[in-house]
Amino acid sequence: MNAVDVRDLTRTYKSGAEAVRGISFQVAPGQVFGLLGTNGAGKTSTMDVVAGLAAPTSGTVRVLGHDPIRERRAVRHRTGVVLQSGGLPGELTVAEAVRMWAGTMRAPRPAAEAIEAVDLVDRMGVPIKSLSGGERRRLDLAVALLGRPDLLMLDEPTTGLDAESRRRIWTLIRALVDGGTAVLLTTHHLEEAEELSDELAILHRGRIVAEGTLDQVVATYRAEIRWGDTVGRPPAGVLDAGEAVETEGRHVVVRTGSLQRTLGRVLRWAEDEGVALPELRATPASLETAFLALARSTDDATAPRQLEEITR
Amino acid sequence: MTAVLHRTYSLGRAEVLLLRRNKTLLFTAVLVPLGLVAALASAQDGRTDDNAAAGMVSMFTGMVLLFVVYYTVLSASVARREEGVLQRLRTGEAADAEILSALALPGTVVAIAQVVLFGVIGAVVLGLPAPGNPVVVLVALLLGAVMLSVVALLTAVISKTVESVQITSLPVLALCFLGGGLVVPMDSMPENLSRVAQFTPLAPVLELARTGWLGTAELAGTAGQIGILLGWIVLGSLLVRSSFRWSPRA
Repeated sequence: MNAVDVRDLTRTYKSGAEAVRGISFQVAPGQVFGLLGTNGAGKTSTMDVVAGLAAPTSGTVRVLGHDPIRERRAVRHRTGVVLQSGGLPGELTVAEAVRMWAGTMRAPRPAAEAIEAVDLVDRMGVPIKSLSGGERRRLDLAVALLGRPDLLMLDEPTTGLDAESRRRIWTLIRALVDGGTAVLLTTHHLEEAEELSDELAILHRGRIVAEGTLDQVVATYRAEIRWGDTVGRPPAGVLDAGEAVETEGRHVVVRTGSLQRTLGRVLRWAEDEGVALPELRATPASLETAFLALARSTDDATAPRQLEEITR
Repeated sequence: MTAVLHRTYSLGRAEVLLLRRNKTLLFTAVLVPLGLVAALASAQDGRTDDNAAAGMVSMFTGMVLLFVVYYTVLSASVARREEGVLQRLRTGEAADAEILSALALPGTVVAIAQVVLFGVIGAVVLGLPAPGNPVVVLVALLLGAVMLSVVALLTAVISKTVESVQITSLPVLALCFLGGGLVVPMDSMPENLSRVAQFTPLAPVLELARTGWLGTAELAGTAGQIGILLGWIVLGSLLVRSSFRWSPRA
């Protein structure tokens, strides 16, 4: 049985805005499923439905085999949720907040164990409002871990954190997954999705525009060779059928399904023609190139800029 | 049932801690009613006749319920919503009713303690008699606390920030003060107005408190007031269920 099973989910707000437009995905036990997308893509709207905080407009959502709203009691003791907003009172100390949560659970792990798991033992008596952003996120995670969840839902768990804090949280999540916990993760950090996701879906304007394992998503996009244009003409005879050469500003860009072969040809062409290739850069296909390709293919004039912004 | 109480107690205990750390709210909840006792004592001319005693019981009970229960529940619910606490709690095992009940717990406990204290101080300093039927007084306090908690949650629906509750609470305070006879005594109102005022939220609570404290009314004889209060509680709860905003984004 899947930890999460979402089929044809739509969510429309009272204003008429369609946040989610018919998406389907599954999360297996012991798997990290990444929902990737720009701000406003529908990630949090989807997460709210899976977490049982909002009802779907249409479609079905099953969490650990149950309806997350109608069968709330059967689900909540097996799930842990980290929301974007955190949601712990700033005036309570770390220990008080964890104890408060533990008191609402039927079989919590000891508060000290959860605090130790996120390395906040020396901050137990500190008010939450005095914690750093990274410490707060680790505390959010500690609370989500209290019930030894079978499914962890993480909405942008590392947004606003420095690189070290982000790595610490990734390590924690990986350890949980190794123990069999399923994770539904939303993020707009490509690096995070690459680091953690066993499978991912890219959401754009409420729809899934690409999905699969990281390799599957990336394999459908091409590697890129780029250099500064010094001769005002594209290279001749280096491309296979179906490959493209474009000019972007003062750069020549070749997109290819075979990076090594095409790069060799470009270098030979430059050697033979005596052409300099300043700022030469060869980039294998990656989630970033997939993302940017999706940006170029979208019909929304504002989306490409948003998508490019989050890949930087 | 034990699990429900355990979850509500755990959340309520955290609310007590938060109340203790909120100096402004703590001042309003603890010192304002005590200040009122001092004011009543200084205004008293040495004798406490039935009318004066009825006025003191009404004034104190009304002020305690409004400033301790209503105000703390309203402030706490808006503050917790702004911090995202309510939304986060809904992802856990506690039911919605348990989360909201916990918000009312500290105010209710403090209000009952204040009234007990008022009874003692009133007897010693103001010459107030001991309650004739403490059960009726307790019922008045408990039902009044539940009713005003429900009204506070409804007020929270239209309050965007903690600061804005100073404004959004005014209509409720005005309705309770005027309708409850705290500004103009009920028996001084025109008959038609007095009849309508009996149905405002605080009026049946104060009537119960007065008759329980100063009279010998049995619980069975107070069915009218209890019925009005239960009507407010049921109607308000249905409205809270359908309209309460759990998230600042909602």
